[in-house]
Amino acid sequence: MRTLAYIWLAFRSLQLYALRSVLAILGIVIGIAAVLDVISVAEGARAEVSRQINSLGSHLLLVLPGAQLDQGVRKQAGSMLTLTATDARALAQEIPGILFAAPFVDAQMTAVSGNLNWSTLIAGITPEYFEARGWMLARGQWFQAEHLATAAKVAVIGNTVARELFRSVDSIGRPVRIGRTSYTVIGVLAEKGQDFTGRDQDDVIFIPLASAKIFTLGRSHANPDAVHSILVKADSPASMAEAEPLITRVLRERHKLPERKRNDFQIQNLVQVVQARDKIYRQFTLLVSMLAGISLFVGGIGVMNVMLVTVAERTTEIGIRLVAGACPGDIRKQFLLEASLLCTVGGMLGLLLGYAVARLLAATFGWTIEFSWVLAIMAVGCAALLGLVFGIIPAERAARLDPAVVLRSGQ
Amino acid sequence: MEPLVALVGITKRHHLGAQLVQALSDVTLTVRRGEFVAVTGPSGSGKSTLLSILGGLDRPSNGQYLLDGADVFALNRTQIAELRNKRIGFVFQNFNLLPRLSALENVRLPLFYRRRSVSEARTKAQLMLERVGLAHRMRHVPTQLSGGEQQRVAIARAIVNEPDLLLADEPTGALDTSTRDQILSLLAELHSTGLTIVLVTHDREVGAHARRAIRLLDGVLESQDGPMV
Repeated sequence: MRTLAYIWLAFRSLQLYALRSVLAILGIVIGIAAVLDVISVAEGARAEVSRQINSLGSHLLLVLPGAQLDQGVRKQAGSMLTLTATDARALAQEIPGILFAAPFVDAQMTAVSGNLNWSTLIAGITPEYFEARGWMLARGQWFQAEHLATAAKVAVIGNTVARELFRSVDSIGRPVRIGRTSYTVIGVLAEKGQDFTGRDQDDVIFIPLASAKIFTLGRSHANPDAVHSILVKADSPASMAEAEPLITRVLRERHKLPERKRNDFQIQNLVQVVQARDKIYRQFTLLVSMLAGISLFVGGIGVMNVMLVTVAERTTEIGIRLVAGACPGDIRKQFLLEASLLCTVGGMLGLLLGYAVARLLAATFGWTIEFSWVLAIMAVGCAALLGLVFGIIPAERAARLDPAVVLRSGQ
Repeated sequence: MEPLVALVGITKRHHLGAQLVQALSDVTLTVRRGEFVAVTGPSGSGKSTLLSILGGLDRPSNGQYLLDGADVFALNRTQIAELRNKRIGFVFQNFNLLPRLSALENVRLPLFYRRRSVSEARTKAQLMLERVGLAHRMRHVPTQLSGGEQQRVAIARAIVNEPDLLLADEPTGALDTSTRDQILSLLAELHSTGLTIVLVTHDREVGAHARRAIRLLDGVLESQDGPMV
């Protein structure tokens, strides 16, 4: 009960020194707001990453043509042509833990429908690619084996393309012209969102691999069977682990590479790439949290400073209280609570500021923000604790005051 | 009967800058329960220091202070504070009210530190204000009160815990003559109910209201039984 009275007393004292108090806690307000915002943004980013890992599909490896030294930048058709569709079939057949090995060719081209056109990614694939990447169908149907066998001029389009080329009209059964060829839309894919590089995954038109090679993307004379990449899906984490060396062995054999020569392909573990990004977010969060922690510390020192000044100014008040019968513990408690309350108010203001900024960021930039109220409450609790710690010295000063001061000042 | 207050060989030295000042030298005196004593002397004679020691606020360099037989300075700070809270009331020349609290809240202050329940405190404080004739002004803050009214609030605060001893340091020093008389008659009234009062003053007229005079000069006790001249 008495503690409540002291808290009320602290509250009234703070009201008396309102402006000074606000300035003192600025460091804390900003520190807490900053910590909360950084963590919210980073957590939002990590949630996105997590979602992307799931949308990527798991147990995936990407085999790309080109030397190991490359960064894996998408190559134009016609530059390194060392991977073939047959390679893909061989991988699927010869390596037991592999569910599919889906070949892939692509180019950025303009698709036309009626009087609308849209530049998009045209991808030539085999049916297992959809399953490997976890695509879902919104309307229509998938490619069948016969579409590939006959190099049918059919297309399955992504959500963004459906929106841009067909607007509100149902695209199923309608033609879309790519290059000089007209394809018929047989399916529309469900929305997937952005991938981990920020690219819109729904901005794509899938056509059968054979059709792509014959009609639209063309094939090179040097290696007509070449593909741009092979997406490999393993059936379990164990198989994933073994897959990389096995794929390397099979491809080196097929490409007839001598011992010394480097691989003319590279293998990327997509999930690892995404996880690396996640790790970066976490390290970033940690770093900025440390910086914000320093800001909090500085804020605490600011509070201590203000409290020291306040105590020095209020010696008469302290003296009167001592004369009225307060013991040093009472005085100490009064000022400790005042410091703690000051910091708690700072923490709560920081919470409000942090929340407001988080919402602003989400609205302005479209970032995914995950604001954790649990973390926010903890932050306010930390602020209260900070106040107690930084209030110790001023409270001691106050408690040690010699009450005779009151009498002497009366002269 | 044992005296309420017994000072034995009290000496107080303190530093004023680099100098060592002897505020009190070997002061021995007693005050009986129910007495009204004035401590007089010129400025610098050690009157206020004596009052500080009587109030347990200042620790003497030598000597003993027995309050109702208890050695005050053998106690720790918390115990002295409790003693001060329950048994001693203080009134100052410049009132020393907390400026932003109301009259009622000021009077309640000693009760707050006595760990009594809130509702009882409010009633008690209100009663004390009635006693000094200021119940109708209890919600006013000191700046809204005259000097005499503020001192009456201070007196109410001093007696709210029903102390044995009231210590007053130049209580009328900041007041005009008619107000001074009001305050002094209030003190006389309280004295008549059995309160022991020690009043410090350099004003002979004020001191004359007491029954007994103690004179100090340069920290030394000159006389302690004389009536006021």
